[in-house]
Amino acid sequence: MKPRFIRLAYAALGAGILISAVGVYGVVSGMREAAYRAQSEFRDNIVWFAAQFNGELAALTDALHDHVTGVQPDSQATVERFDVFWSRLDSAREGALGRSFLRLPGAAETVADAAATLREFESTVLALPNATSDEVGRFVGALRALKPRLNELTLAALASRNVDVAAEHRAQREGATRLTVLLLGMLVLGTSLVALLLLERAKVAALGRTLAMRVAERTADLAESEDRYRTLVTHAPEAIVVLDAEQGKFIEANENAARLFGVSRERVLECGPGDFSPPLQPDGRASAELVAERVAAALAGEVPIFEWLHQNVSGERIPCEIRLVRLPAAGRSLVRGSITDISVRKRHELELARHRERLEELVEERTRELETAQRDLLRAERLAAIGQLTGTVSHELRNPLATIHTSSVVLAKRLGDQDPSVVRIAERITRNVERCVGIIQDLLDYTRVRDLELRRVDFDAWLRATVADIEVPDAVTVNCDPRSGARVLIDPERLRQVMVNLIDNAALSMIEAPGAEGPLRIDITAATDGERLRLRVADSGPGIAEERRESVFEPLYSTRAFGVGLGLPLVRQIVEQHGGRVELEPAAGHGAAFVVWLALAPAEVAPQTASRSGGTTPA
Amino acid sequence: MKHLLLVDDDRDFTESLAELLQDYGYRVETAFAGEEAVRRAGEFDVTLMDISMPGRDGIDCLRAIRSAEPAARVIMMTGFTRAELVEQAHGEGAFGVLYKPLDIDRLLHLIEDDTGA
Repeated sequence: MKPRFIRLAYAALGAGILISAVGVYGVVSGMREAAYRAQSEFRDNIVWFAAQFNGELAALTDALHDHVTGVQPDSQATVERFDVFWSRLDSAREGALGRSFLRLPGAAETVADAAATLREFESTVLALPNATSDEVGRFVGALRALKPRLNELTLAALASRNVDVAAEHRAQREGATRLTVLLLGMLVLGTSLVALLLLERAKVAALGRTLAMRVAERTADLAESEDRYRTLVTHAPEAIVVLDAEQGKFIEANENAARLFGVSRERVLECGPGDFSPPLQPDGRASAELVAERVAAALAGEVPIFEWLHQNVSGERIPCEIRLVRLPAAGRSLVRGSITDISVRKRHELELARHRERLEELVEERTRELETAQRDLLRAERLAAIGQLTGTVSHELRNPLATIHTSSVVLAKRLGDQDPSVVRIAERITRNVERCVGIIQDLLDYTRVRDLELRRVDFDAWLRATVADIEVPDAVTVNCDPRSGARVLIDPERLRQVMVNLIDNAALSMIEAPGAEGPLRIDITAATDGERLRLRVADSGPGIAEERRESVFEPLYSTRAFGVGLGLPLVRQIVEQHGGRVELEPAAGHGAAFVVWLALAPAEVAPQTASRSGGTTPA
Repeated sequence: MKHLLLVDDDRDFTESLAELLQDYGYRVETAFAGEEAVRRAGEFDVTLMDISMPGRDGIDCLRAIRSAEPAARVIMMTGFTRAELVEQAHGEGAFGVLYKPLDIDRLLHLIEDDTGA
């Protein structure tokens, strides 16, 4: 609807209201004015009326009197006539005086009627033959008493009111005009109101139509939007559920949710989160309690993201990640849960952790290898340094030693006959020269690693023979009892050095021990242990102090009063060259025990030369 | 009585060995360089010579002596215990090789040539 018409209608309405107001004002003010104007005229009229009325009444009374004195009237009829007269008179008086001044002409007519009635009454009375004189006398008396009362009443009325009838008529006319204006105003007002009503109704109707149209549009939009969201939800890669927090049940669930829980969608909608969770979560807390906590957080506006263990209908536990968010819903507490199955991720994490662990192990292993290599390198460097020095020193020492030796032999030869002690002295010199040479030889042996000349030998027999040839101090008993029955591939000469060093080491450690007493024993045993041969050399000496155990195989580390500390390092070098291993048994009571592990000879392997680096540690 | 020549740059050693061998009844002459031994090759029954000497070394001298006198009996001595030196000396025709300090018995056997070599 065009607003122009509306405006027009409102303008008309305004005009109507204005006109009506003017009318109302006119009517009210006109009435007041007319009242004032009519007052005096009304008074004159009333005076006239009273004079007329009194005249009529006097005439009536006189006539009645005359009649009563002459004849007997029908008293009942006369009384009725008088009643009519009085009622009319009353009415005239009421009309003239008690109500509006506009009824004055009516009052006059009433008075005229009354007069006429009286005249008619007069004739009636005159016709009455049967009235008793008493009755007529009472009647006339009453009539006469009435006259002054009527006058009195009329005068009182006149005193209270002062009415100008002509002015009243004018005022009536003006009032009519004003009323017309008022009515006109009312008409305009009414019309415009109706017009407005119609207009408004049209507008409302139009609005209604628009509204309906828009509602339809919005409904369509909404339906489309809902479709869109439904598609989004239904085909979302994750499981999506909507939980009514108050009912504790799902009110929406997509296919993935149904698949995850292993039930139909309809079944999901009959359940709550508790139905698809184990009683306890991995952290040991009750699922129900945790659900309540998370949902409360979501309802409070947070967006909780957390890991959750679901349990499908077959009892299978599925690690998931859940995101909760409150959904807008009037009067309901809805929470959307987006659930992602993270079993694969978890598995990968686990695998990754395993790989990492393995990697760490590898790194540790490599580090150990590197450390070993570094240690070997350091040892090799130290060996090289010693080797270089030894080469020179050996030669430089051997010459003076040779001179000392030769000289002592000459001395013994020349003086021995005269003084036998010289021979002993010479022998001592020679012995110590040999000892020096031994040390030099050790150094040379240790620093100049030679290739092995491997031979297949019967180990037990070889060991017995070798040990028997090694000289030990008299105080020491060597008990050699090998029972390996093994054949091994060894360089007999080099391994003999191992035995010499082990036995020397054991013997000297016992002899040099302070307060060494009792039987000093060296027990040598050999046995097979799986694929390996175990050779053990144990002494009954003081053993090796805990703080020295680490260093016994280190070169140039000796606790002995005399020695450069190459015996045990040489043992290790030779054993390792054989692909074996030597170790110091953990301290147990008295004595020290060295164990040498050697590989058993392969059944059909021909004797060969093994290079130092070619040796491998037996399994 | 065998006539021996001792050649070694270590004078103390040469002297002590000479005394020793003289005590065993040999006629011993000494020299402190290999040149003399080469020059006088053939004058002695046995020559004892150090392998490592300043100037002309023992192996070189041995070779020279042996080429001049193929039958010359030369015993080499060394303070080194390197197997290749020993092999080399044998290769050049040394009658024997001894490590210092000398094994006196073995030396005497070699001089008397009753080692069976």
